[in-house]
Amino acid sequence: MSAAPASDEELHAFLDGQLDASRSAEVRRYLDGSPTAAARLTAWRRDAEGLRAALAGIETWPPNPSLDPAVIRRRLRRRAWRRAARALALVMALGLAGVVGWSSRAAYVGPAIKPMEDALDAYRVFARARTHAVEISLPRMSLPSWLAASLGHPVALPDLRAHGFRLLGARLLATSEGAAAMVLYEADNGRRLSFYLRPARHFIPGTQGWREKEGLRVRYWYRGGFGFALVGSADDAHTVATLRAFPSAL
Amino acid sequence: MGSIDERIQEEELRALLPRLRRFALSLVREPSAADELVRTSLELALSSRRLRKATAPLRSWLFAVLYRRFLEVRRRGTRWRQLLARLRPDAETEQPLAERWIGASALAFARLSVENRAILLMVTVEGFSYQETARVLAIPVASVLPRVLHARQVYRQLSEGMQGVAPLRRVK
Repeated sequence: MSAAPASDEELHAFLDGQLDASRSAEVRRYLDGSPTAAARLTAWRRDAEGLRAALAGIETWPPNPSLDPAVIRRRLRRRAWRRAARALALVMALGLAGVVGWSSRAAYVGPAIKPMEDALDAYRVFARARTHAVEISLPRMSLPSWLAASLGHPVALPDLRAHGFRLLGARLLATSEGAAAMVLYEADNGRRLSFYLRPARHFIPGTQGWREKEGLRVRYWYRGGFGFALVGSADDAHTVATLRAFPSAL
Repeated sequence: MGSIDERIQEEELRALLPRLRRFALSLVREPSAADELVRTSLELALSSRRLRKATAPLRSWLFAVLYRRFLEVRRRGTRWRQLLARLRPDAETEQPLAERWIGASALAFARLSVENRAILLMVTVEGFSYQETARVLAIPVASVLPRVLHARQVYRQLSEGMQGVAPLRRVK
């Protein structure tokens, strides 16, 4: 029983032991039945053994100590240390040169200010207080005129009655850029919403957006050198809907 | 100084050193250039984060690093050699034959193209599987066998052509 003839490629794969077991067995059977093929394989095998012998003797080559892996690793580490030391020296040189120029701005360090962060802070501190949430409350005084007098400029207050929020009062606050005001509103369910305004020179007029932080949502916009914000509970759908209506509703 | 893992790694690399040197020599055919190739390849290997991961066998990964480095050096060197050739038309363009390999078989091997030398060294001499060979040379596995066959045929022709040629030097 003779197996199918093996191609030249298969003979070489057989020689290299790279044929799978079943095909390898078939090729062996074929070789048993074909002396010419077996002779061809023997010739290839002889070539391979000759090449192996010709390129042998690597253990007798003179060792090269600069190739020792431990030596190379140490050298790499020294190089890395020197590079790091050079970089550090450069940084320090630059740092030393920069200290004089930076000292006058040293007071302004810290993360970049997020828009209307103070509006959120004001709400957190005052808005939910049962007493003294506001310092000026209706109906004692006209809020708009009080605000105008305190801030030094007229203020357009949002009318939130259509959204179910009634005006409670206002509180004056201080910022580094001047007086700010927090105007408080309350819905029937007790949820409170604040309208916050302050001078703002750092933000380009027209900047607007909304943010959420720690359960509070703020809708803000900047116009005419002032920043405005509406702040309320993020989990109150009514509040969120109201916030979304501004500033277009103004 | 240094962890146990590093010591073990260094031992493994040390064990592979002679074969790396032989592979490098088969590629550049000059002993000091071959050792330089091995040194820079080991630097690359020791700087590489992949050395710490024991995924592929160390041998084929190291051979792959060396082969890639060789191609890179050759690519950069080609432009330089071309420039030299234009300046001195009679300049030597063939690499000197290795002093370590003498005899008809070695001469025939040295006369092969670098791709044929690489593949024969790995499959015939080192006994790499076709998979490993493919990985080192960055070629598809299916193309290994046809390339091996072709290399062996060319080597056979060159060997037969060298029959009767006296060896260059007597072995000391």
